[in-house]
Amino acid sequence: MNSPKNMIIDTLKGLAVLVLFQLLGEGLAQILPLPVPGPVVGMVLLFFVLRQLPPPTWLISTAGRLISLLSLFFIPAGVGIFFLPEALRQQWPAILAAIIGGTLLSIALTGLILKALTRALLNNE
Amino acid sequence: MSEMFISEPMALLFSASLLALTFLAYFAGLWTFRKAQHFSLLHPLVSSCLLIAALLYSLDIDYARYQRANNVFYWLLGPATVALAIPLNREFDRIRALALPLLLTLLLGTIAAPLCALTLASLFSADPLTLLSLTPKSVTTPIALSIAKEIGALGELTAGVVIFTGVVGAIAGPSLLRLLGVSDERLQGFTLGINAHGVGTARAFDISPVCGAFSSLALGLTGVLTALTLPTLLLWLPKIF
Repeated sequence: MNSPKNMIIDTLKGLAVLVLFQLLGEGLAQILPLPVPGPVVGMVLLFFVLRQLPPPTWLISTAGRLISLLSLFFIPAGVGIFFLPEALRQQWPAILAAIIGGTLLSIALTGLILKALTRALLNNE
Repeated sequence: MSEMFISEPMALLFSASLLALTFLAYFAGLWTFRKAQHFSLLHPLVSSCLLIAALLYSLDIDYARYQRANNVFYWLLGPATVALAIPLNREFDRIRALALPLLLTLLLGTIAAPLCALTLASLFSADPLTLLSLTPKSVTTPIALSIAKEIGALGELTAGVVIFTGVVGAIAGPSLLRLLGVSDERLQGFTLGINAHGVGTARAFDISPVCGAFSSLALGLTGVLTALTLPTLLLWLPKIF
Protein backbone atom coordinates (compact mmCIF):
# COMPACT_ATOMS: atom_id res chain seq x y z
CA MET A 1 0.00 0.00 0.00
CA ASN A 2 2.75 2.44 0.94
CA SER A 3 5.35 1.33 -1.61
CA PRO A 4 6.87 4.16 -3.69
CA LYS A 5 5.25 2.73 -6.83
CA ASN A 6 1.79 2.88 -5.28
CA MET A 7 2.49 6.39 -4.03
CA ILE A 8 3.33 7.56 -7.54
CA ILE A 9 0.22 5.92 -9.01
CA ASP A 10 -1.93 7.42 -6.25
CA THR A 11 -0.46 10.87 -6.85
CA LEU A 12 -1.06 10.59 -10.60
CA LYS A 13 -4.65 9.44 -10.04
CA GLY A 14 -5.21 12.32 -7.64
CA LEU A 15 -3.66 14.87 -10.01
CA ALA A 16 -5.80 13.54 -12.86
CA VAL A 17 -8.99 14.12 -10.86
CA LEU A 18 -7.92 17.60 -9.77
CA VAL A 19 -6.96 18.60 -13.32
CA LEU A 20 -10.24 17.17 -14.61
CA PHE A 21 -12.19 19.39 -12.20
CA GLN A 22 -10.01 22.36 -13.15
CA LEU A 23 -10.87 21.78 -16.84
CA LEU A 24 -14.58 21.41 -16.01
CA GLY A 25 -14.29 24.68 -14.09
CA GLU A 26 -12.54 26.43 -16.98
CA GLY A 27 -15.24 25.19 -19.35
CA LEU A 28 -18.09 26.30 -17.12
CA ALA A 29 -16.50 29.71 -16.51
CA GLN A 30 -16.24 30.15 -20.30
CA ILE A 31 -19.81 29.09 -21.05
CA LEU A 32 -21.59 30.97 -18.28
CA PRO A 33 -19.36 33.65 -18.57
CA LEU A 34 -18.41 33.96 -14.90
CA PRO A 35 -15.85 36.57 -13.85
CA VAL A 36 -14.13 33.79 -11.89
CA PRO A 37 -11.08 31.73 -12.92
CA GLY A 38 -11.53 28.06 -13.84
CA PRO A 39 -9.65 26.55 -10.86
CA VAL A 40 -11.92 28.36 -8.37
CA VAL A 41 -15.03 27.09 -10.19
CA GLY A 42 -13.39 23.65 -10.21
CA MET A 43 -12.89 23.86 -6.45
CA VAL A 44 -16.59 24.63 -5.96
CA LEU A 45 -17.62 21.76 -8.28
CA LEU A 46 -15.37 19.27 -6.46
CA PHE A 47 -16.72 20.51 -3.13
CA PHE A 48 -20.30 19.75 -4.21
CA VAL A 49 -19.30 16.28 -5.43
CA LEU A 50 -17.55 15.59 -2.09
CA ARG A 51 -20.73 16.54 -0.20
CA GLN A 52 -22.38 13.57 -1.97
CA LEU A 53 -19.60 10.96 -1.88
CA PRO A 54 -16.61 10.89 0.49
CA PRO A 55 -13.15 11.38 -1.10
CA PRO A 56 -10.93 8.28 -1.60
CA THR A 57 -7.67 8.23 0.40
CA TRP A 58 -5.48 8.75 -2.69
CA LEU A 59 -7.29 12.00 -3.45
CA ILE A 60 -6.92 13.18 0.15
CA SER A 61 -3.20 12.42 0.19
CA THR A 62 -2.54 14.08 -3.20
CA ALA A 63 -4.49 17.17 -2.16
CA GLY A 64 -2.58 17.32 1.13
CA ARG A 65 0.75 17.09 -0.70
CA LEU A 66 -0.16 19.84 -3.18
CA ILE A 67 -1.47 22.13 -0.43
CA SER A 68 1.69 21.68 1.64
CA LEU A 69 3.69 22.87 -1.40
CA LEU A 70 1.54 25.98 -2.05
CA SER A 71 4.37 28.33 -0.95
CA LEU A 72 6.72 26.72 -3.48
CA PHE A 73 4.28 27.36 -6.34
CA PHE A 74 4.15 31.09 -5.51
CA ILE A 75 7.93 31.61 -5.64
CA PRO A 76 8.35 32.45 -9.38
CA ALA A 77 5.58 35.07 -9.14
CA GLY A 78 7.00 36.41 -5.88
CA VAL A 79 10.43 36.98 -7.40
CA GLY A 80 8.70 39.30 -9.91
CA ILE A 81 8.21 42.03 -7.30
CA PHE A 82 11.96 42.72 -7.51
CA PHE A 83 11.78 43.23 -11.27
CA LEU A 84 9.11 45.92 -11.70
CA PRO A 85 9.13 48.15 -14.82
CA GLU A 86 11.38 51.24 -14.65
CA ALA A 87 8.46 53.69 -14.85
CA LEU A 88 7.06 52.45 -11.55
CA ARG A 89 10.23 52.93 -9.52
CA GLN A 90 9.22 56.41 -8.26
CA GLN A 91 5.90 54.99 -7.06
CA TRP A 92 7.73 52.72 -4.61
CA PRO A 93 6.87 54.60 -1.38
CA ALA A 94 3.15 54.57 -2.19
CA ILE A 95 3.22 50.92 -3.27
CA LEU A 96 5.06 49.87 -0.12
CA ALA A 97 2.71 51.90 2.08
CA ALA A 98 -0.31 50.21 0.49
CA ILE A 99 1.19 46.73 0.66
CA ILE A 100 2.54 46.88 4.21
CA GLY A 101 0.34 49.48 5.92
CA GLY A 102 -2.80 48.71 3.94
CA THR A 103 -2.55 44.97 4.48
CA LEU A 104 -1.88 45.25 8.22
CA LEU A 105 -4.72 47.73 8.58
CA SER A 106 -7.24 45.57 6.74
CA ILE A 107 -6.13 42.42 8.62
CA ALA A 108 -6.64 44.24 11.93
CA LEU A 109 -10.05 45.58 10.80
CA THR A 110 -11.42 42.29 9.48
CA GLY A 111 -9.99 40.31 12.40
CA LEU A 112 -11.65 42.59 14.95
CA ILE A 113 -14.96 42.65 13.06
CA LEU A 114 -14.97 38.86 12.87
CA LYS A 115 -14.10 38.54 16.55
CA ALA A 116 -16.91 40.91 17.53
CA LEU A 117 -19.46 39.15 15.31
CA THR A 118 -18.60 35.65 16.48
CA ARG A 119 -18.30 36.46 20.20
CA ALA A 120 -21.81 35.24 21.06
CA LEU A 121 -21.50 32.05 19.01
CA LEU A 122 -18.05 31.09 20.27
CA ASN A 123 -18.90 31.72 23.93
CA ASN A 124 -21.59 29.08 23.74
CA GLU A 125 -19.13 26.34 22.78
CA MET B 1 6.62 25.15 -23.31
CA SER B 2 7.13 23.71 -26.84
CA GLU B 3 9.81 26.30 -27.51
CA MET B 4 11.85 24.70 -24.76
CA PHE B 5 12.17 21.45 -26.70
CA ILE B 6 12.92 22.98 -30.10
CA SER B 7 15.77 25.13 -28.80
CA GLU B 8 19.28 23.80 -28.42
CA PRO B 9 20.40 21.52 -25.56
CA MET B 10 22.30 24.29 -23.75
CA ALA B 11 19.12 26.38 -23.46
CA LEU B 12 17.28 23.34 -22.13
CA LEU B 13 20.00 22.76 -19.57
CA PHE B 14 19.82 26.42 -18.57
CA SER B 15 16.03 26.17 -18.11
CA ALA B 16 16.49 23.04 -16.01
CA SER B 17 19.00 24.85 -13.78
CA LEU B 18 16.61 27.78 -13.29
CA LEU B 19 13.90 25.30 -12.32
CA ALA B 20 16.28 23.51 -9.95
CA LEU B 21 17.19 26.90 -8.46
CA THR B 22 13.57 27.37 -7.34
CA PHE B 23 13.50 23.92 -5.72
CA LEU B 24 16.86 24.37 -4.00
CA ALA B 25 16.00 27.85 -2.73
CA TYR B 26 12.64 26.60 -1.44
CA PHE B 27 13.99 23.57 0.42
CA ALA B 28 16.92 25.57 1.83
CA GLY B 29 14.38 28.18 2.96
CA LEU B 30 12.14 25.51 4.48
CA TRP B 31 15.06 23.95 6.34
CA THR B 32 16.08 27.34 7.76
CA PHE B 33 12.47 28.12 8.70
CA ARG B 34 12.24 24.87 10.70
CA LYS B 35 15.65 25.40 12.34
CA ALA B 36 14.52 28.89 13.35
CA GLN B 37 11.37 27.43 14.92
CA HIS B 38 8.98 28.98 12.37
CA PHE B 39 10.21 32.55 12.91
CA SER B 40 7.83 34.42 10.54
CA LEU B 41 10.37 36.69 8.85
CA LEU B 42 12.23 33.59 7.67
CA HIS B 43 9.18 32.10 5.94
CA PRO B 44 10.48 30.07 2.95
CA LEU B 45 8.54 32.22 0.50
CA VAL B 46 10.39 35.33 1.69
CA SER B 47 13.89 33.90 1.98
CA SER B 48 13.75 31.98 -1.29
CA CYS B 49 12.36 34.94 -3.29
CA LEU B 50 15.12 37.19 -1.90
CA LEU B 51 17.78 34.58 -2.62
CA ILE B 52 16.59 33.96 -6.19
CA ALA B 53 16.19 37.69 -6.95
CA ALA B 54 19.72 38.34 -5.62
CA LEU B 55 21.14 35.53 -7.76
CA LEU B 56 19.30 36.67 -10.92
CA TYR B 57 20.60 40.21 -10.40
CA SER B 58 24.18 39.18 -9.74
CA LEU B 59 24.33 36.69 -12.64
CA ASP B 60 22.50 39.20 -14.88
CA ILE B 61 19.72 36.75 -15.82
CA ASP B 62 16.51 38.12 -17.32
CA TYR B 63 13.46 37.70 -15.03
CA ALA B 64 11.29 36.74 -18.03
CA ARG B 65 13.76 33.92 -18.79
CA TYR B 66 13.55 32.67 -15.21
CA GLN B 67 9.76 32.90 -15.25
CA ARG B 68 9.51 30.91 -18.48
CA ALA B 69 11.66 28.10 -17.08
CA ASN B 70 9.43 27.97 -13.98
CA ASN B 71 6.07 27.91 -15.76
CA VAL B 72 5.31 24.49 -14.28
CA PHE B 73 4.69 26.08 -10.85
CA TYR B 74 2.17 28.51 -12.28
CA TRP B 75 0.49 25.53 -13.92
CA LEU B 76 0.41 23.54 -10.64
CA LEU B 77 -1.43 26.39 -8.89
CA GLY B 78 -4.54 25.29 -10.82
CA PRO B 79 -4.87 21.75 -9.37
CA ALA B 80 -3.63 23.05 -5.98
CA THR B 81 -6.56 25.50 -5.92
CA VAL B 82 -9.01 22.72 -6.80
CA ALA B 83 -7.43 20.60 -4.01
CA LEU B 84 -8.62 23.17 -1.44
CA ALA B 85 -12.09 21.62 -1.83
CA ILE B 86 -10.94 18.67 0.29
CA PRO B 87 -10.16 20.50 3.58
CA LEU B 88 -13.17 22.70 2.88
CA ASN B 89 -15.42 19.66 2.73
CA ARG B 90 -13.82 18.10 5.83
CA GLU B 91 -14.36 21.21 7.96
CA PHE B 92 -17.71 22.16 6.49
CA ASP B 93 -19.71 21.57 9.68
CA ARG B 94 -17.48 23.94 11.66
CA ILE B 95 -17.79 26.51 8.89
CA ARG B 96 -21.57 26.24 8.69
CA ALA B 97 -21.84 26.87 12.43
CA LEU B 98 -20.29 30.32 11.88
CA ALA B 99 -21.85 31.03 8.47
CA LEU B 100 -23.55 34.35 9.21
CA PRO B 101 -20.65 36.22 10.90
CA LEU B 102 -18.27 34.81 8.28
CA LEU B 103 -20.37 36.13 5.41
CA LEU B 104 -20.81 39.56 7.02
CA THR B 105 -17.08 39.87 7.63
CA LEU B 106 -16.45 38.77 4.08
CA LEU B 107 -18.65 41.56 2.71
CA LEU B 108 -16.94 44.19 4.86
CA GLY B 109 -13.49 42.73 4.26
CA THR B 110 -13.70 42.77 0.48
CA ILE B 111 -14.50 46.50 0.67
CA ALA B 112 -12.00 47.26 3.46
CA ALA B 113 -8.98 45.71 1.71
CA PRO B 114 -9.01 47.93 -1.41
CA LEU B 115 -10.03 51.01 0.63
CA CYS B 116 -7.13 50.57 3.08
CA ALA B 117 -4.70 50.21 0.17
CA LEU B 118 -6.07 53.30 -1.60
CA THR B 119 -6.01 55.41 1.56
CA LEU B 120 -2.41 54.56 2.41
CA ALA B 121 -1.18 54.92 -1.18
CA SER B 122 -2.87 58.28 -1.72
CA LEU B 123 -1.15 59.62 1.41
CA PHE B 124 2.08 59.07 -0.55
CA SER B 125 0.55 60.72 -3.65
CA ALA B 126 0.51 57.72 -5.96
CA ASP B 127 -0.51 58.32 -9.58
CA PRO B 128 -4.00 57.15 -10.69
CA LEU B 129 -2.74 54.09 -12.60
CA THR B 130 -0.79 52.86 -9.57
CA LEU B 131 -3.82 53.41 -7.33
CA LEU B 132 -6.01 51.44 -9.70
CA SER B 133 -3.47 48.60 -9.89
CA LEU B 134 -3.40 48.32 -6.08
CA THR B 135 -7.14 47.74 -5.63
CA PRO B 136 -7.31 43.97 -6.31
CA LYS B 137 -4.31 43.33 -4.04
CA SER B 138 -5.96 40.95 -1.57
CA VAL B 139 -7.36 38.62 -4.21
CA THR B 140 -5.83 35.38 -5.47
CA THR B 141 -3.49 36.03 -8.44
CA PRO B 142 -5.59 34.66 -11.35
CA ILE B 143 -8.70 36.56 -10.24
CA ALA B 144 -6.65 39.70 -9.51
CA LEU B 145 -5.22 39.62 -13.03
CA SER B 146 -8.61 39.28 -14.69
CA ILE B 147 -9.95 42.13 -12.50
CA ALA B 148 -6.90 44.24 -13.43
CA LYS B 149 -7.68 43.72 -17.10
CA GLU B 150 -11.32 44.64 -16.60
CA ILE B 151 -10.67 47.88 -14.68
CA GLY B 152 -7.75 48.88 -16.91
CA ALA B 153 -5.02 48.50 -14.29
CA LEU B 154 -1.40 47.53 -14.91
CA GLY B 155 -1.26 43.71 -14.80
CA GLU B 156 2.46 43.40 -14.00
CA LEU B 157 2.16 45.73 -11.04
CA THR B 158 -1.00 44.03 -9.77
CA ALA B 159 0.67 40.60 -9.94
CA GLY B 160 3.67 41.74 -7.90
CA VAL B 161 1.56 43.65 -5.39
CA VAL B 162 -0.76 40.68 -4.88
CA ILE B 163 2.09 38.29 -4.05
CA PHE B 164 3.80 40.79 -1.76
CA THR B 165 0.50 41.49 0.03
CA GLY B 166 0.18 37.77 0.62
CA VAL B 167 3.72 37.64 1.98
CA VAL B 168 3.12 40.56 4.36
CA GLY B 169 -0.12 38.98 5.55
CA ALA B 170 1.52 35.59 6.01
CA ILE B 171 4.46 37.04 7.95
CA ALA B 172 2.71 39.55 10.18
CA GLY B 173 -0.92 38.39 10.12
CA PRO B 174 -0.91 35.67 12.78
CA SER B 175 1.14 37.71 15.30
CA LEU B 176 -0.92 40.85 14.68
CA LEU B 177 -4.15 38.94 15.21
CA ARG B 178 -2.88 37.36 18.42
CA LEU B 179 -1.86 40.83 19.61
CA LEU B 180 -5.44 42.03 18.99
CA GLY B 181 -6.86 39.11 20.95
CA VAL B 182 -8.07 37.19 17.88
CA SER B 183 -6.64 33.88 19.05
CA ASP B 184 -9.18 31.41 17.63
CA GLU B 185 -7.60 29.47 14.74
CA ARG B 186 -10.81 29.54 12.73
CA LEU B 187 -11.02 33.33 12.88
CA GLN B 188 -7.30 33.71 12.13
CA GLY B 189 -7.65 31.45 9.11
CA PHE B 190 -10.65 33.30 7.71
CA THR B 191 -8.95 36.69 8.19
CA LEU B 192 -5.79 35.44 6.47
CA GLY B 193 -7.82 34.15 3.52
CA ILE B 194 -9.67 37.47 3.08
CA ASN B 195 -6.53 39.60 3.19
CA ALA B 196 -3.69 37.41 2.01
CA HIS B 197 -5.27 34.91 -0.45
CA GLY B 198 -3.23 31.78 -1.36
CA VAL B 199 -0.02 32.83 0.37
CA GLY B 200 -1.93 33.49 3.59
CA THR B 201 -3.69 30.16 3.10
CA ALA B 202 -0.35 28.35 2.82
CA ARG B 203 0.62 30.00 6.12
CA ALA B 204 -2.75 29.05 7.66
CA PHE B 205 -2.09 25.39 6.86
CA ASP B 206 1.19 25.78 8.80
CA ILE B 207 -0.87 26.76 11.85
CA SER B 208 -3.41 23.91 11.61
CA PRO B 209 -5.63 22.08 9.09
CA VAL B 210 -8.73 23.80 10.53
CA CYS B 211 -7.09 27.22 10.18
CA GLY B 212 -6.20 26.29 6.58
CA ALA B 213 -9.74 25.19 5.74
CA PHE B 214 -11.20 28.50 6.96
CA SER B 215 -8.56 30.36 4.98
CA SER B 216 -9.35 28.34 1.81
CA LEU B 217 -13.00 29.27 2.14
CA ALA B 218 -12.22 32.98 2.54
CA LEU B 219 -9.74 32.86 -0.35
CA GLY B 220 -12.36 31.50 -2.75
CA LEU B 221 -15.23 33.72 -1.58
CA THR B 222 -13.14 36.92 -1.49
CA GLY B 223 -11.96 36.30 -5.03
CA VAL B 224 -15.45 35.76 -6.38
CA LEU B 225 -17.02 38.63 -4.43
CA THR B 226 -14.27 41.12 -5.31
CA ALA B 227 -14.55 40.24 -8.99
CA LEU B 228 -18.27 41.03 -8.77
CA THR B 229 -18.11 44.19 -6.61
CA LEU B 230 -14.82 45.98 -7.26
CA PRO B 231 -15.72 47.37 -10.72
CA THR B 232 -18.86 48.93 -9.18
CA LEU B 233 -17.02 50.17 -6.09
CA LEU B 234 -14.51 51.92 -8.36
CA LEU B 235 -17.32 53.90 -10.01
CA TRP B 236 -18.13 55.43 -6.61
CA LEU B 237 -14.60 56.04 -5.39
CA PRO B 238 -13.71 59.14 -7.45
CA LYS B 239 -16.35 60.96 -5.39
CA ILE B 240 -14.42 60.21 -2.20
CA PHE B 241 -10.77 60.53 -3.25
